[in-house]
Amino acid sequence: MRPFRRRGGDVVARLDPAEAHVLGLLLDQLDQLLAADPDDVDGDPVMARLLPAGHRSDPELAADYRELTEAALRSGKTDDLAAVRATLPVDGGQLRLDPEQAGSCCAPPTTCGWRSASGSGSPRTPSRPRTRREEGQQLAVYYWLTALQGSLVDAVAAGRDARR
Amino acid sequence: VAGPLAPTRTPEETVEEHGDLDRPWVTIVWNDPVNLMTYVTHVLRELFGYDEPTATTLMLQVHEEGRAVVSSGPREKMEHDTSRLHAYGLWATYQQDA
Repeated sequence: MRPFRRRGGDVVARLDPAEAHVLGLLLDQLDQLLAADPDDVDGDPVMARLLPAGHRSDPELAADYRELTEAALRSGKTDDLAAVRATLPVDGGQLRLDPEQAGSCCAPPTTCGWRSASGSGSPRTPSRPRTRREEGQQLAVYYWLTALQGSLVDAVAAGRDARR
Repeated sequence: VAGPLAPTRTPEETVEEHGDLDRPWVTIVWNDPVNLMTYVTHVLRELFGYDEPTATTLMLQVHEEGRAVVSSGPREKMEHDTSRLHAYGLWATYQQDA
């Protein structure tokens, strides 16, 4: 991987084929989660991150909030996933984002959600204890995504400062 | 806010709320084991137009104290602010000010 950096008005990174593949899988998992029947993914930790409660101790307020915002949040997050999917080089290579795309890609679930997803498997995966090898792999993915997201946020912030 | 290695614990702290029409509503950002510190600062600048020092101070308050009030106003506005923060993947709630 070559982390994100500014090039002209865009931000550019380079992904290895394996990295692009992992990112594609994580995008698929999140897409499945957002598209799933809410009853099937109730209590899923990644789902709780994607659509958190609006209030911690008042169920009525939390229910009001969910009714008011859930549809828009779901479709917004699905759009963000599609935006990343559209720019992702399937077999690796250059990932170039214009300022608007970079903004959407900064927003989880496109980056943070990938990371959450990398820690808890897909909704279709039956839960079982992870092996040490799997934990090691997930940690490696987590560190890699953190580096990727960190470089993207830094590049976007630098672009914003340059405009002001 | 994540350091280099993110734990997976969910914050358990809650803030009590009592119905009182006069008190303003607030939007709170909670500490969260996933988001990077630079990302939280970035979102606060984007959404609320805070300058860098203000956004950084709020981010550090979230990181060190577990939460920070990032906006206040009418209930509808706080609902809206909370949903924008959720769109960015931050852990946020709204409530009447304690």
